[in-house]
Amino acid sequence: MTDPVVGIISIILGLIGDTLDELFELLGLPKWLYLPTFIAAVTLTFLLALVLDILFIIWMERKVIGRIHHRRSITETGPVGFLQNVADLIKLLVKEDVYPANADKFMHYASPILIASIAIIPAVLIPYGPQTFFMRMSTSVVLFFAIATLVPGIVLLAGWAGNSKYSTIGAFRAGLQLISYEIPLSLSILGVILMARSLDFYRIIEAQSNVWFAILQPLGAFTFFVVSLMELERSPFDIPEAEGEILVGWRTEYSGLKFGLFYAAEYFKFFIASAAFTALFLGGWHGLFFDSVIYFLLKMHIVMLVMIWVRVTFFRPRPDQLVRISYTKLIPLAILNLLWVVLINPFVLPLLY
Amino acid sequence: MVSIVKKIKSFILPMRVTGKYMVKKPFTVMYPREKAVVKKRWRGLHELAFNKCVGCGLCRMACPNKCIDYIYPEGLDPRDKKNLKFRRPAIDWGHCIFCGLCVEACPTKAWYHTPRYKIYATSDSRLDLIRTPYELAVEEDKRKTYEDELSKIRDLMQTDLLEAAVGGEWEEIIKKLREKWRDLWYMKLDGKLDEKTWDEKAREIEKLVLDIIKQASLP
Amino acid sequence: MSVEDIKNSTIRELSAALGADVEKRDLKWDKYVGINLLKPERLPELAKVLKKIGYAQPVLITAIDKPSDGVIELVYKFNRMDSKVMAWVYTSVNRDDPRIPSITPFWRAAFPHEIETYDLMGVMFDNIPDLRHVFLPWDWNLGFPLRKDWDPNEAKKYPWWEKTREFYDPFIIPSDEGDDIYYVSIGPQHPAVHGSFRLILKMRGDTILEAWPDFGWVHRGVEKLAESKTFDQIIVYTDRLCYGSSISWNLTYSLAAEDLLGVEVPERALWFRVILVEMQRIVSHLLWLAALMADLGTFHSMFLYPIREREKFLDLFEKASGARLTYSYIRIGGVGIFKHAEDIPESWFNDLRNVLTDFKHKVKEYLDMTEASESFHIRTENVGVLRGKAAIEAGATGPVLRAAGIKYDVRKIDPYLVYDQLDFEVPVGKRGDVYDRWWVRINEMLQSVRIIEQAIEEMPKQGPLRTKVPPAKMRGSGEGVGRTEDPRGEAIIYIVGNGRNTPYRIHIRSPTYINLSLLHFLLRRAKFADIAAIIGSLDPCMAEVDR
Repeated sequence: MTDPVVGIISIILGLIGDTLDELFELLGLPKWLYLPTFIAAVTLTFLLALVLDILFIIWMERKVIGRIHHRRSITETGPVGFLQNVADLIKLLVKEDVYPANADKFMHYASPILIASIAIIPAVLIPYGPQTFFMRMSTSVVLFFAIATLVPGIVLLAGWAGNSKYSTIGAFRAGLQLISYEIPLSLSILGVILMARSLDFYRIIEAQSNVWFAILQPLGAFTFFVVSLMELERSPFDIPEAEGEILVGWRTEYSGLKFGLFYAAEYFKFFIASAAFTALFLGGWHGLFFDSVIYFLLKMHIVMLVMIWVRVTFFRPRPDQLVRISYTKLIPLAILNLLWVVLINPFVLPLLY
Repeated sequence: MVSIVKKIKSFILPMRVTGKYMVKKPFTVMYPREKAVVKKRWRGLHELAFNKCVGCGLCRMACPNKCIDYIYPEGLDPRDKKNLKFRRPAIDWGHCIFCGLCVEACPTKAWYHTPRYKIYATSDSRLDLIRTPYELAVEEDKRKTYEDELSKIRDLMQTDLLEAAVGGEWEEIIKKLREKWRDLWYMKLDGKLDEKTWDEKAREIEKLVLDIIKQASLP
Repeated sequence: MSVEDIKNSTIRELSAALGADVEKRDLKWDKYVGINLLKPERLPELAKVLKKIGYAQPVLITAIDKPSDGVIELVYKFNRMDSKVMAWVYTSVNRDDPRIPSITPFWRAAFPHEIETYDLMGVMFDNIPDLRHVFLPWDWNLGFPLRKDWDPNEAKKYPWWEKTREFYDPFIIPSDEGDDIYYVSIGPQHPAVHGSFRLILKMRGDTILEAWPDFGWVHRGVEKLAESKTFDQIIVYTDRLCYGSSISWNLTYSLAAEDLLGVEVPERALWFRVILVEMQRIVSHLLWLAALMADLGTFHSMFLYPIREREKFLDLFEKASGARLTYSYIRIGGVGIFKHAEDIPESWFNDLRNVLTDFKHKVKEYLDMTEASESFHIRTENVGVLRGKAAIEAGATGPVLRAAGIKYDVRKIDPYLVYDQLDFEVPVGKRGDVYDRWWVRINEMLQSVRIIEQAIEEMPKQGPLRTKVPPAKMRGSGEGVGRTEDPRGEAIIYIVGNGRNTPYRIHIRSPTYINLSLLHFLLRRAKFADIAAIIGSLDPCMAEVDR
């Protein structure tokens, strides 16, 4: 059975195309402008969808955390407080722009823009449905994690630019975090790559049509989950911005729109990390009766829910303990998983594809 | 093996606690809509049973923050011992800490706490939070006491006590101030004054008070 | 050894060592031994003898200004870990040039007391390592506030607003320390410091080399203010000593004032006081637990759970006293506020029982969140270690001392109220780290539940709760002391009266101030991220530190 969402998407694309056709005819614009305009319009449409989803994610996070705290969360603005995020967004947009007296002004303004734009790029590499994807390439997994690794570098710059001791400590903690999670991250996806025999997200998801990799290699799934929490810099691994220790770390000096961009980047990363987990371990778009984008989104949001749940449950380790956890616990776990994959690989082959 | 079980437990037990509350009903109260329950003994805003108060001054002595002061009916000389029994306590809720010592000290049980807790100032001035004895008086005996007090004050005003009280430049200012307050107060008691003009007049007098404070701190 | 033996041997040893320079002083308490030291310059010798014969800590050092005699009287109180005997040493120094040798060089526990006495009373301590202002600004030279002839208008001369900027500038940074050393100032506004105090850290990488706490940001001068208030009015200041444990301070003050004024307390009030104080201990520890957990992470879920339970106890307090935080409920002569909250409300005990049952279940949940979770263990174990004799030497008190493995609880050592008739245990830690402090406090809460349950059963059902003391009798002379086990440690209020209805001098020993001055030791070699855990484990309450 075909994916019903594909129909909707093609209708949207058709609508955009039709509108542009009429516009070009009306205004008499040159033909060569058509393709860039079409691409821009499509991108904007999907960005809009992404922003709407992120508004929903933030709402869900606030609501779930509120419930776990045994309190009501946002209730006042809009139905069940849904419009509160929009109000917050408007507040951030109209806030006064403040920058520290001795800050590196160029980096101070460049880093929020850089971080938000880079954090969103990996989203195009993930196939959301059998027919719904932006691009296919044979090494998309490698590219995906290469781009994701860039973000902590910009965090380092952002913290440095603020010219404050707290920001700098936070920035260096981000650097420390990067070196501690990079290795277990690569090792844990290696198992998936070995089993699927591909570096392409599409092929990896196709390989899970019968059984999810989370079931075949639970250790790998667990390691990847923990590591992606580290990458997200969210509690319990919110070491670079540990509120009780270094205020909000590298974000201390940023306010208003700049803070808004950081905040958006955080949720882009959240979106991408859970999408990657869904694609690598939870079988992507595969589901009961038919394959659909709906399954992908559903699984992704459940992963997010679990991440939020973990966020309010565990204590934050110290930076040096984080490195120790990662080098003495996660790397052995990932290697163990790798051995396990090598061991069972011959037997699971008939299960795949 | 035991350590592995312990490790797994260390993930599951905390998640169980937080997971339990995720589906439970919230503990908090939607305050402005759901009424916050205040206990019967809540040491809230005071009330004064006007007919019980004898003006003894014990509450002023008991107050640790010195926020209770006595008001004499307009035109009475506070320095005259004869007038002591006419004074009544006024309270500055801006400074009050609601400790209950005045209620405890009162020999005739005229002071008491109510469970009311809302208090706010509508202007920048802290004078808004000062309550005169008339405002503190309990609703039922308010009207009667007003009338009694009014007739008493009017009798006293016939005498030349006011003139005796003043003399010299400093006294002049106090006299002027008193007169202003008195006029205003009478107008309000007789119902001739609406809230808006009362506010304006009060603002004027406040300015006057500030002038006095300025003059007092000059030399 | 019995109380008499210890008292006799103390006098004997001191006479042997110092000869005619010491003489016995008669105190109105049998359990304390009073000593007059005639030559203040021989104080270190005396202190060394006391230390040798088993006195553990200089638990209180204070000064009383006596302009009429031209002297400042210094009072030193030394406690013991094994007995309720305290040695009270009185000595006088010249008011114009108050100098006395310091005992800090060989007895570190005296340090916070001595610098406080210098700060507010101007007694110079010779040989003290670091004599500086602690509550007043560091460059204060406008007299000493607790002296009787000090004019409060002096304080207006200090350039408070011009100084502010300079004050925030980094601590003196020597230039020749190398590039890898840097200084960080934490506070006065910072989530880890629970109020307002400042920490100056000398760091290399992520490791703290040295730490200096800096207090006095919310100093209100309660001791000075109290000298102008009547005994009954001071109770509202004790409410505000610590937002977490108002009732405990109400009790400590009431005991001291009752001691001074000679007021008898009805039997039923004693039992009710125990219930209230133990409830306050639970409430205070819950607040501490919440704050510590918020510092350690969990995104505030473990912050809100204890706060929720605390709310239920506060409801009970509200039902009985009419206030949620500043109760003024334990008063001189008993419990209650005449004409407003005279007797215990009906069904109050039933509510209390329900809350306690619920609370015991909730403690299990806290344990699931913390004890069972490995992420809690790695953050707290072997962090901020202070153990055994070193803790006594440094002057630790309360749960911090008990976590260090010393079984010292004023409720057991020197029972007040009816604690000698109650059955409870004193939890004692082993390693003296953050985890043990957490463990001790959690178990103290459970013991408090046990005490309350016993007290509800054994409390007389009928009878007065408070004896009425007419204001005319609220005047006393001599000394009064209240010594209790506050949730944060050993609390002492020492009152000196001179026959008026206001105290002549009132000294408050704040356990948190003593504990926080340990930060200098605890933070050495700690990691930057441990600051929150270590400060949180000391249960700081800045309102009480600064007073």
